[in-house]
Amino acid sequence: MDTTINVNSLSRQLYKRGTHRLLGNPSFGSLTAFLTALLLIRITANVYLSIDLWRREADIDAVQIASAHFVFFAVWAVWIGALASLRISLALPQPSFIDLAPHGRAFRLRFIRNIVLLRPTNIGFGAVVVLTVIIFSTISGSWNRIVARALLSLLCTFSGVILITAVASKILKIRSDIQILEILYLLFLVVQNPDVASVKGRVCILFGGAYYSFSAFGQMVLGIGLAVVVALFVLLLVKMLSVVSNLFRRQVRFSPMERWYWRILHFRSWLLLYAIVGPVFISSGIAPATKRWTLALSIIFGIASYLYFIAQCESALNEKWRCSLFENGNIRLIARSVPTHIVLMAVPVMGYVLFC
Amino acid sequence: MLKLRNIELSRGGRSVISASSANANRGDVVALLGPNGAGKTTLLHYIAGILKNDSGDIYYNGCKVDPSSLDWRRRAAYVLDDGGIIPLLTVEEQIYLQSVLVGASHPESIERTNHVIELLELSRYRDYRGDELSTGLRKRLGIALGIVHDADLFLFDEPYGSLDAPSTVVFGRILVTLKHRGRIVLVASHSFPSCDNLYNRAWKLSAGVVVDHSREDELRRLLDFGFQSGEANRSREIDIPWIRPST
Repeated sequence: MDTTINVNSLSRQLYKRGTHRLLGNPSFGSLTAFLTALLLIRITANVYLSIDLWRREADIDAVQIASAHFVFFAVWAVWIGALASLRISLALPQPSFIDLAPHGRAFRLRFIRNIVLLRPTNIGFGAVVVLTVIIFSTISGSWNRIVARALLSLLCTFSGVILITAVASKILKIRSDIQILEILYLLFLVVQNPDVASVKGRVCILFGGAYYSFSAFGQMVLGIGLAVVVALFVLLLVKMLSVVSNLFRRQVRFSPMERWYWRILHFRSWLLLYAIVGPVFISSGIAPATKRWTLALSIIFGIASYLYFIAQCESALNEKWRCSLFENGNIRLIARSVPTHIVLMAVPVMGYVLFC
Repeated sequence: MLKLRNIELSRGGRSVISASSANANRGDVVALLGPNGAGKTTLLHYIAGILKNDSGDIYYNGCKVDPSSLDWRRRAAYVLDDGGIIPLLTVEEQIYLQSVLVGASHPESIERTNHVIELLELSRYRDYRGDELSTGLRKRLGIALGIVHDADLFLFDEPYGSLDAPSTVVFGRILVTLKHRGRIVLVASHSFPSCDNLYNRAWKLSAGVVVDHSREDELRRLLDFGFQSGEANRSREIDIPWIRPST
């Protein structure tokens, strides 16, 4: 036996061999990566624009822009960080010999810690915060207020991640559910559309077309605290909906393919989508373009989710029973799920038509 | 001595296990019998601390135990139906890791790993990852993961499924060894191979109700093979150095 083997190296081996990639559906993973990249490009463009304007000697409200970014990053990290670490904890099979061993929990925590510390997104989060401090301290000419806010946002982020992970670990047990929540939250952040603009002669940042002053510490704490509360509320909503949908599933008679449909595409993910797009459509402070984008994204979500359902069925039928949905008239089996899906997809469209 | 008293377990409002009294003494190899869905795995999950019960208690050596406690996990080794193995670790790595997690030192873990690999004839597969193993090999690895633990109580869930004849014989010898070293062993299965006439107690589950049988005539009827004394089986013992006779 190789005598260099030890518990630390095994934890790293799990990471190298890609255990963290077994965290859920790869298509959802790609969508999450795409939305994250979209957000980063948007933020990078704003930072570039701020630097460019500063070099042209425009009046930049550096403290407001930096603080807005901190809140934005903290809100992102609180949710995504909590959900990601939860998914990582589910990457090792449960129950496995690790759970049953006396020191198994310590190994599981070590595994999560190693992967969390090595994940590019989490390393990137710290790097982006440091970079934001450096850039906006240079622009404003003073660093103490910006550094204090960065530290505060980091503190809020860590406490928020711990709090939400503790709640989510009691509620969420399915990796694809966690991924759906991640995607919906990223969509919410994308529609916030952070944008550099001039307000009363000073260049600052707007969210969804609205200006938020971050002149006091309290407002920043309030922003992050609100995000934690919203995240907890969403988690409780998920729990409530899963209880209701379980009762509903037991009482209503469905065909096997309909049951399969509801097991792949949970009703709660639709309700979460409505909960996110609803306020965007209703709000009068959000730009029409943002509302149109929100509608487009919800339609894309609807189409993609149905294609995902078809792909899952087809793959399972091919693999397990060597048959296909697209032969011998089998396609009629999914006919009943089509109108259901169209109705669910039509809800955001009706919301847009009614409120926008 | 292990005692189950007035255990009630329910899921979704339906009672799945009801055990008013079931006992096992040191050196007992207990057959958990019952058809599919009788509740064998559920009962093992409860004893191992994976599931919680509605009422009732487990006593070990006269003391009430909390099945989910660290102390109980130190005492009980549970081999899950699918072996509970990690897909991306090799056979050697998994056995070593389990050995470390149950408290053995680094050199001792290496020694145990090599010994168990030889014992269960896994040498050819030591560099195979969990997801590259066949069902039978996963079962053998599961047994290996169980016996690297010097526990007081061993729980095996469906160990005979997918095991080939030589491995079944080796497993029988492991059970004999554990029995003679004073461990309590619970083996859940719906069919027991006739070569394993070492069971001296049976917990029969029928629709979740557990009935404890220890009389020879009852065992003959339930298990359909001979009841042998400990001495007759002693020749079948194998060498597992870290599992020492109980005092």
